Amino acid sequence: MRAVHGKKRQSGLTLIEVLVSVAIMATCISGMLLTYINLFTITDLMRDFTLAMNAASQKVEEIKCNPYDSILAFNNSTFTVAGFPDASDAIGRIEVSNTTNAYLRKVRVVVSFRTRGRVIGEDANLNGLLDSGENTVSYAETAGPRLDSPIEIVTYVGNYSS
Amino acid sequence: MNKRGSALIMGLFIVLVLSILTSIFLYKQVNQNLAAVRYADDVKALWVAEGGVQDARSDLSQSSPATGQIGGGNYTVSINFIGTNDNSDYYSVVSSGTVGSVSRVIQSVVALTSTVPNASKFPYGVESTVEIDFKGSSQVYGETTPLPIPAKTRDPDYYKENSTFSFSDLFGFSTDELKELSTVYNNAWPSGEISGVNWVVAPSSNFNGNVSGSGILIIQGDLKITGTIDFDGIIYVMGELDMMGTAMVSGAVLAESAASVDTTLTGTCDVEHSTVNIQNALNLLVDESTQVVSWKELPN
Repeated sequence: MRAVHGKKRQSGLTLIEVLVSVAIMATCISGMLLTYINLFTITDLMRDFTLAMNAASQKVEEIKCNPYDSILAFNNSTFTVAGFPDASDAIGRIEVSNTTNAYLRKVRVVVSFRTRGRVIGEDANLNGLLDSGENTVSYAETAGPRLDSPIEIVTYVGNYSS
Repeated sequence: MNKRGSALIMGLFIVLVLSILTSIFLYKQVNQNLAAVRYADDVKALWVAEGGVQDARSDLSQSSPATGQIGGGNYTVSINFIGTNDNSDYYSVVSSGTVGSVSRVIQSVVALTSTVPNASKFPYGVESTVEIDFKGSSQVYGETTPLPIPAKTRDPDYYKENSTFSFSDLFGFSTDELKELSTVYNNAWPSGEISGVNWVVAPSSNFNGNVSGSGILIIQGDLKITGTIDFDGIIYVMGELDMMGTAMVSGAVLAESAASVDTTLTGTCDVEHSTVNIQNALNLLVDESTQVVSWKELPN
């Protein structure tokens, strides 16, 4: 009878409800979007991290394959890191030094790289050298100023098959 | 039915679902991040352990575990003698490398081979790349020559003229390598008692001093003896040899003369070819080499 005699009351959302919902959704989704963006950055970082570590490991193997007498020639040399879209986004540095043992040399390979504009390692300009202002306290300095990076492999190479 | 406020609840529900999904992604990503860092430490630890093996190869006879620090890691190496085969001693070298909380252990089997040059490469008492000029009462004979040795014995079985020989072939080392192992006299003649491997960068003056001893005596330059030498072992001259004074050598004398000047033995020169003294001298040149014959990673 009410349908006949009166206007049915429309049920729905008030403007306030809609505004509050949209506000909450917008806040939450924007937070989540930022998280996703960070996730992409981390994914890229880890990919480059792994590429750099593999390159460093491969370079040490390569140095080991050379005659003992010639590995000192690698000292202070640099190498490019395969896998980076832009070759200038990563660079490795090799240091070979004598030890107190005449038959043992220390090989150190360090790789610095750039991911999404951020350089990992001290080599800010990625030229393979420790330039003025690049040495930071973030990394342990045990043998004077040197180029440091979390991508670092240090090992010995011996001369025992002469 | 009153549906007022249901949109808010629905909205919150959707946000909740999205939040859960995001949290899962975040959790997975953080784990991946940690895995990448651990991978880096894994690689570093392996190379630290490998460094330990290389370090241990320099002294395989050590009984207690060797430790060391390299880069940001530490290694501990234990060495055990396995056995001997084909003139090589075999050792098990187990090296544990640790970087941060990550450790990796590798086991290498290392063969240690010791080689010594053989006296058979020195078949003569005197050997020269040019002709040998015997004068005075000089004599050359072998250890099997019947006694007494007649005066001026110059047994052709024990000297060789116009010979060809190679320094590295005779000694098993290059000149630079052997010089590094030697006691070096720079532009000065040794005097008194000498032993071991001695390397003389010859001064321009004659040798007129008095030397006795044993081992290996290398002369980089000319050797003109006007003094006295009493030596058991090998004398190798990279130049002109002129023995004019008193030289008593039991072993071998070799002259690698670049000039066409004859090697001259005059005065009181007595050279006995002695394989025993030659081998004793060559025993100073033990060349130990090691080779990794197997490599594996052990479960940690």
